[in-house]
Amino acid sequence: MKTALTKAVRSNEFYVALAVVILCLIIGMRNPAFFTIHTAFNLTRAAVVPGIMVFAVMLGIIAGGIDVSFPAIAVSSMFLTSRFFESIEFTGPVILPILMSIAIGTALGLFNGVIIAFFKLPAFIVTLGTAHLFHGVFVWLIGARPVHRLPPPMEDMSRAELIRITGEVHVSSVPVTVLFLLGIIAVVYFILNYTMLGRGIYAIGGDRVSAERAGFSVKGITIFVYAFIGFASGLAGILHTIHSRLSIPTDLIGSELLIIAAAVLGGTHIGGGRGTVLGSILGLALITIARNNLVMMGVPSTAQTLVVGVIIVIGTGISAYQAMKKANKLPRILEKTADAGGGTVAKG
Amino acid sequence: MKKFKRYLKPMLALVLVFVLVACAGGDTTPPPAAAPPATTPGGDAPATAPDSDQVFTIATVVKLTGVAWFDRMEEGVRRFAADTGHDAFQTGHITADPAEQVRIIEDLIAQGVDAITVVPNSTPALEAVLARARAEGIVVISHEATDIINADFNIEAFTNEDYGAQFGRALAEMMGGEGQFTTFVGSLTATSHNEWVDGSLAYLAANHPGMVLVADRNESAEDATNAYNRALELFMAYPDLVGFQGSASTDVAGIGRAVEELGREDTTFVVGTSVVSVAGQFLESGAINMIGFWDPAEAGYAMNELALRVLMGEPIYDGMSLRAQGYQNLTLVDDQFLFGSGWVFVTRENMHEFDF
Repeated sequence: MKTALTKAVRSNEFYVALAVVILCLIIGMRNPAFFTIHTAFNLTRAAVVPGIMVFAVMLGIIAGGIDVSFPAIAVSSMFLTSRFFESIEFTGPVILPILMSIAIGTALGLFNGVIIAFFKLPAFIVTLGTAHLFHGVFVWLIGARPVHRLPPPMEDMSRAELIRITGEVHVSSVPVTVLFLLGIIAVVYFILNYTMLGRGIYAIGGDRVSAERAGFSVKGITIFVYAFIGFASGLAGILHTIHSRLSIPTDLIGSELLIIAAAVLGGTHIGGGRGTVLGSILGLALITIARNNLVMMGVPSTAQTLVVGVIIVIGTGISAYQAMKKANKLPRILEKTADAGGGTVAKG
Repeated sequence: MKKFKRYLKPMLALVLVFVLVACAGGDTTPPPAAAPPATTPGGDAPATAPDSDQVFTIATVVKLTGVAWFDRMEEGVRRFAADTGHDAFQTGHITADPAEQVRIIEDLIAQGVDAITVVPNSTPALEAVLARARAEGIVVISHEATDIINADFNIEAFTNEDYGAQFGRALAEMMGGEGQFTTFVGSLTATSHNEWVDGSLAYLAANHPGMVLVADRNESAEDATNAYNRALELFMAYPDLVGFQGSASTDVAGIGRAVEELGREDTTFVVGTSVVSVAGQFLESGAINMIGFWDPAEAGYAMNELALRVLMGEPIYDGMSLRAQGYQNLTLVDDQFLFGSGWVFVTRENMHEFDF
């Protein structure tokens, strides 16, 4: 009999949470300043933009596809948006640039989704191409001149804080933008756990053919997933620009692997069909802490990439080991079928 | 599958058309715009006019056009043309593409210019075409290319170590010669950034033992947000930290934002390579104290002036001076590489003199 406790201990989330706690303890032992509210605030702020992308990408991976174009979508959407609003000397409400960036992102995501759904091509291959296409087209169309001075409403938003704490030595704050991250988490959680669409996303990632036979609209779901990734990327891009108060067309490019790593660390199965919001929150926490607290730990900058790499290898190793143990416990249907009739089993 | 094939051909055709249109679009770069008036005949020539009556055509090929940096360089080229009466102009492609630079230089060879000055996107990619230019008797001067072979001379605003040392000196002055400071690089493999930091650290080690380095060479990946997050972390890890030296132009912007948010403008000192357009708002608020760069207008002027000297057969020697600001008493290395002291340092007071 499995109790709730043993079930929790066997879950992947448990091990990722354990890794987060151990990492925090190690950093805290090296530098007690880590255990302050300021660290939590700084980490929250640093997690906003990567976080939004992690939950979008997680949705894609659960649906059985690895999207690598999301940084290109993010940077293209934000760059076109900021150049446009800069050129019209915009002073209206800040929601307009945000909506425009989201709209561009969604359109680009739709483009991905349609190609992937209708041509039944692997998302990885398609998005590898479209990543260059999107970024290339936008830089070609509007040039690469960075925007150094954002329109005033966007600059004001970069200073907008939700909470601010003034300590004896330090001051720290949580930016308003964190609400968008919470919003995305809530939406993804709701879709995955309470909607038929969510069941469909798990189903097509688990076995595309079975999902189709079960009556899920594979095309529709696929298009939705990539459009959603585009939506979230557009949002992440404009928030990145608002955070940095600069719009630079080479930012974010190259961040895709760490984002995917965060999702996979959190137990999202790279082959599709499995993954939870809680796991990805933990994966995001692990990567964010590892990326932003190694100086505190006294790791020299030449060794920081190495340490992040070690954490990812160990973390994904644990996830893979857990998945393997689970797979071994399943009854061997495929082998039995093969033994019995020599027939083949369709695989998606 | 049939459906896929049906869509495939139109799709491919569409992509092809798009690519072709894109390429064609790229080719429409206008030819070098009207050069400034040629010879000034007779007596009303400016004092600095060529000694001989010969007017040389000197083309400056930049990495890309339409960016503030090279617009500023063009100002220097224009000023040179106005000062000397020679036919000097600047050209380039809208993208930083070495292949386009090769094409432009080939065109210039065909036009029979007297000298080409170039800021290469990729030195190795240009060696062959520059060798051809020199074989045709064209004088070749390069900038930002200390690894070049096929150029008469390469001229740099400064050696990276000397320039870096200036930041160390400024930081030590602001901090009263003591306290904790840290350094940032765009990436740990960026040669120039690391040489700037090396120069600064060597200067401080030799002159200001009270300056204590903590967490050397934080990597920003040229992204202001990374620099910002790292600065916040550094403030947490080292409560006594007061000095920052940035390298990528966005480093000081990220650090400056952290300083602003923590309200530490008065107690923290931030210096680094940047340009006014990136760092201006933080110079104004006091979050950044000083930025440094080299003025592309002076570099453009110096390249052209050097080309002219070579064309006129004048000697190029160690210790020589050009009229461009910061290019006096040049150091000549290996008979080919010239280094000046063409750094510019900008604070809140003089930031309005620079529009790039």
